[in-house]
Amino acid sequence: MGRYILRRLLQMIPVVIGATFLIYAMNFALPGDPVRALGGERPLPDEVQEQIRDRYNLDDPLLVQYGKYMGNVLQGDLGESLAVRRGSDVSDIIADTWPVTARLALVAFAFEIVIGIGAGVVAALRSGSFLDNLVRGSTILIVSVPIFVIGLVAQIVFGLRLGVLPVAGTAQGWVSYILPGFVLAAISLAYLSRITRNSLMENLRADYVRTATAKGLSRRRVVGRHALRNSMIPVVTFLAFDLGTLLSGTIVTEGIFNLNGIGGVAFDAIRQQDGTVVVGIVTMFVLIFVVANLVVDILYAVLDPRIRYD
Amino acid sequence: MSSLDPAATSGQSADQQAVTGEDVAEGTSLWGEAWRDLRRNPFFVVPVLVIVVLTVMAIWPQWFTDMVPRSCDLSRSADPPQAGHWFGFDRQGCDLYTRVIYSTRASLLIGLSVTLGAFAIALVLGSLSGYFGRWLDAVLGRIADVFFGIPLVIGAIVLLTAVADRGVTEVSAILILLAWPPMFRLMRSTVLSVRESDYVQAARALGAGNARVIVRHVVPNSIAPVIAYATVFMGVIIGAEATLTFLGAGLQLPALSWGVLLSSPPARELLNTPHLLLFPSLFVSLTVLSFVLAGDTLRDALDPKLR
Repeated sequence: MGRYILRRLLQMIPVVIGATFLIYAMNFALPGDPVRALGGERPLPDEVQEQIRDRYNLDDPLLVQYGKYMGNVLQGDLGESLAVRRGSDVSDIIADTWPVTARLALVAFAFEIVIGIGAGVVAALRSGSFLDNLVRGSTILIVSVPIFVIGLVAQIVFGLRLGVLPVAGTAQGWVSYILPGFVLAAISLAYLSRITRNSLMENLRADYVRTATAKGLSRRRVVGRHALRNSMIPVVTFLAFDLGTLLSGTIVTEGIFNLNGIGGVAFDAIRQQDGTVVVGIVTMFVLIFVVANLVVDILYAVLDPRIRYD
Repeated sequence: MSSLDPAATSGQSADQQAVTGEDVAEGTSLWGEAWRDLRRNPFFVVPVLVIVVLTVMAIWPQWFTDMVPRSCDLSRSADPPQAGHWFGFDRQGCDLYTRVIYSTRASLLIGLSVTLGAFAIALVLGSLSGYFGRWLDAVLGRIADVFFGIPLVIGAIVLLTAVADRGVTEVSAILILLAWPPMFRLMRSTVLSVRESDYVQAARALGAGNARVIVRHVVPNSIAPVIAYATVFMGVIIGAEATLTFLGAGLQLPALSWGVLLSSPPARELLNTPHLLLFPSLFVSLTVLSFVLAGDTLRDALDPKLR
């Protein structure tokens, strides 16, 4: 097991380097001069331009630039914001804003797990019934609507027309996170309930479930302790993969609901072409995503004793 | 035949199979049986009809409207739906129905080119990686891992904001670059399961070379799930284009796409002019829904285990 984790960690290194290099190169190596662009109509004095180039190592070859950048990243220095919050460190911006995003993600995960898995289990236990068809129909509908449309509609309906939930901002504590959390979770929730349903239905037909029923166990125990546990393996895989969707989703959701989280900053940074902020945040997202997938691979062994690593 | 590139020939042989399957009354081939199931399934037929209508709309938008998308009257800015103008007017006073119709082309084109691009990459690299294995598989697998590590929308935002002029070509190219790994992995895994089968062994025993085995035997028998996935994928990409454009990282004015229509009105104005949000998003959702449903039913029909 220890060797397996070590091997996976080593495999992770080229992935992280490749992904971050791709993002870095695209953002900083394109034709055009970002430093000159900073000045707009009136060009900055040569000394100032020189200073900025020096600060961001812009005169070095691309690989050296990237190497220096990653060296700084490893020391916690993600560079300075050029537009969104001009002059402040990107790492400070992230430190300021991550609690909002963490809360939003927690609420979204809660919705996903409670409603997504709940609906999937209900649909699987009564497959072919009205409820099953309702779950299947509504999930495929939700998947078809872009997340920002769901967000805008939720804002208009629940926030403005009905006035039951806060429209934007985080002034009302946890209540403010209900609407954005639900919107962020909506699409993943739909996929999750479909995966749960299919996986549970497959397991309910398995021999060991028949054995458990034949032993005289109650339905609740058969489903809860035998079938459901085994059905969770694809669900957990999906949750890790889904973290990528969720992270992308925070950019849209926090932008629409005006939450001051990492995604909201990224949303502004994209609109204002603030390269260092975008690259810094995305580099972090990629790291989170890769680590989450590693954790799930390791969790497999705990969840499914049939899997052996050597 | 064996000298042709795998993408072209496999498509052909898959078609041939479908045709022969239909001709033989029993429908013994995989595609023939799937087609027999599918043509009676409303959840396949209706979405396919919708896709056909949308395709016609993308190619000949003038068949669906007399008006021109860029002749606008500012005095009618954001007017609500009315007789003769069912979808109302956008903020520039252009007829929204006409603009939605004319936007179909760019949205479908991005979906189609990204799907075909990713499909071609997945087909070639996936079959090579699965068939030959060893170091080639390891190298291609690691490269796929790199792109797989970047979440699609986030990666596309970063790469696209760096591009100054974003047209259909640029957006498609970036999306292909980021979106091929899942399809590649699917192709590779089905090739792996086909590689050891008896008919492949038999073909090799008869002296067929690697190229012939791959093109004539391995690819036609492992391509079905990838085609089903590609259908769903096309819907996903059309939705992703709308989201990217909404975020300001997709197509730019004066291009017309559903994403462009959805991104132009400021969110705070939507309360009074919900038609600006409703109609374009209705078209996006209907399109995505059609591809997802068609792909889902196709996958079920092509899966021998579900029979």
